[in-house]
Amino acid sequence: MSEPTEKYKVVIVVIFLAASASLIYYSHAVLETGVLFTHLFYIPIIYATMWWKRKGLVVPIFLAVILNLSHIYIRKDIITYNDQIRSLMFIVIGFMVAELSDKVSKGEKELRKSHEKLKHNAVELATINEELVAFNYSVSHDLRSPLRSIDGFSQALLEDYTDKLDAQGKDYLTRVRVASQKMAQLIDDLLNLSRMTRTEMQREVIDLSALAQGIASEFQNREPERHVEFVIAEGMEVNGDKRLLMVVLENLLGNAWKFTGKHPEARIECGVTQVNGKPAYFVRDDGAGFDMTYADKLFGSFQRLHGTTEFPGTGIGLATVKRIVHRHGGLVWAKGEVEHGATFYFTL
Amino acid sequence: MQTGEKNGKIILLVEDNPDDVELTLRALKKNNILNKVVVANDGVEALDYLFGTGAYEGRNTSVIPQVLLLDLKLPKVNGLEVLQQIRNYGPTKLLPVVVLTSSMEEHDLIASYQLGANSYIRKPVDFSKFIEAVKQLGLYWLVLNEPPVIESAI
Repeated sequence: MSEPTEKYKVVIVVIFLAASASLIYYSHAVLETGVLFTHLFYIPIIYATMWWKRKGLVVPIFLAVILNLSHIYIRKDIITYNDQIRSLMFIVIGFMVAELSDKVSKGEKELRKSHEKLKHNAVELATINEELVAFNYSVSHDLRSPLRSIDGFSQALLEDYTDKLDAQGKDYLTRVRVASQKMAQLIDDLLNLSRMTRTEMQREVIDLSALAQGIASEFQNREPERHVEFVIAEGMEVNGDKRLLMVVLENLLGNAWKFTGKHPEARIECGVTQVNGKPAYFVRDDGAGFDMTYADKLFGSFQRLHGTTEFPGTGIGLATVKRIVHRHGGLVWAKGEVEHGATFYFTL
Repeated sequence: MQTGEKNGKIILLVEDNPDDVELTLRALKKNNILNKVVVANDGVEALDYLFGTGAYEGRNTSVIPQVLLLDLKLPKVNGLEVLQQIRNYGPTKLLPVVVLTSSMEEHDLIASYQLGANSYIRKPVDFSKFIEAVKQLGLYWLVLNEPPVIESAI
């Protein structure tokens, strides 16, 4: 309900005040009663104290005063305390309404303040997001460009000056090329990571088992010579973003596939267990595992627990997994032991 | 394969980075694509060449390149604006345009196609892959593809 304007408020209160005052006179002087119909009085009292708070107490005090004056001057023959008690009630009720109204408007003010702050934060966030987009753009464009030059001209040297370069010179140039291509991969991974955070989520019911099965067969088709047994629990259904959860499974199963690569036979398990009464999905392998001492480093960007010569990678996969799981409001953690495999858990 | 030196088919390469110009020319040469390559270092130069204005005042604008290789991030007038302007200009309205860029932003991809690009290629960092890409590009746009017959300018 919108508030009436100040002028309108004064008019309302004055009309009811006049009506109340007339009623006092009418009861005392014309009807000559000692009992007053004072219910109407509460209308100006409550309005005035609601609108003007303690200043509005002027109205109940005024009504109390004229009621008592009228009583004394017109009906001093009736000795009751009726009117005195009534007039006291005017002030008490007026005071209570004023206090209440004060509290409400203070709360309102605070609410408006925090709303403003929220709005301000939203604007700031939007700006930061815009900057992030611009940053990504420049990363994908500007950082790749010099890399192309490094790789291209290294190859040009290898081709055009091959007779002037000895084996070591060629080896150095080859290393330059490998490094620039690796950096290009890092840039791409980093961009993908930020894209995972930027894109809007579309939640739906997803058959996690089918997703995992699909990814597993893809790995097996790619390297059919490997002996890896996939054990994937049936009927795992979750509510989440299909594309993002696909990335989670691809990374976790991909890691399991990668880190069992040095074992002649391996077993990769994907299933669900209960942790603190909530379903926690897991991917378990019996591969290289990791030292639990470094468990907190697993999910950081560009953090790796194995040398790239041992197992290739950029160290961005688990950071991506963590971001996606967090966006779903879940948690991710890992358990492992060197040479005894690793288990990655996540909740959604 | 050797595509004609004298068949008069011109490639217009719009690229501001001299390294990329050098590498693209090298890739063309490696693939025996010996067509004349006109290099424009920014969007304005590209438009001047096509419209016969500015530095190219008086150029015979009825000679239209067989294909335009367009980088997106260019000084002055960027690639997307160049694309928009040549699509709004009669003689170049149908000119085959291949966007050749490092950007893989979805926004650039969609905008390019919306403005009428014929192809969008992301320059790979690996130069061997780039040479392969240029080879296919040359084979397709200079040999296989039949360009639209455009009536000479105004």
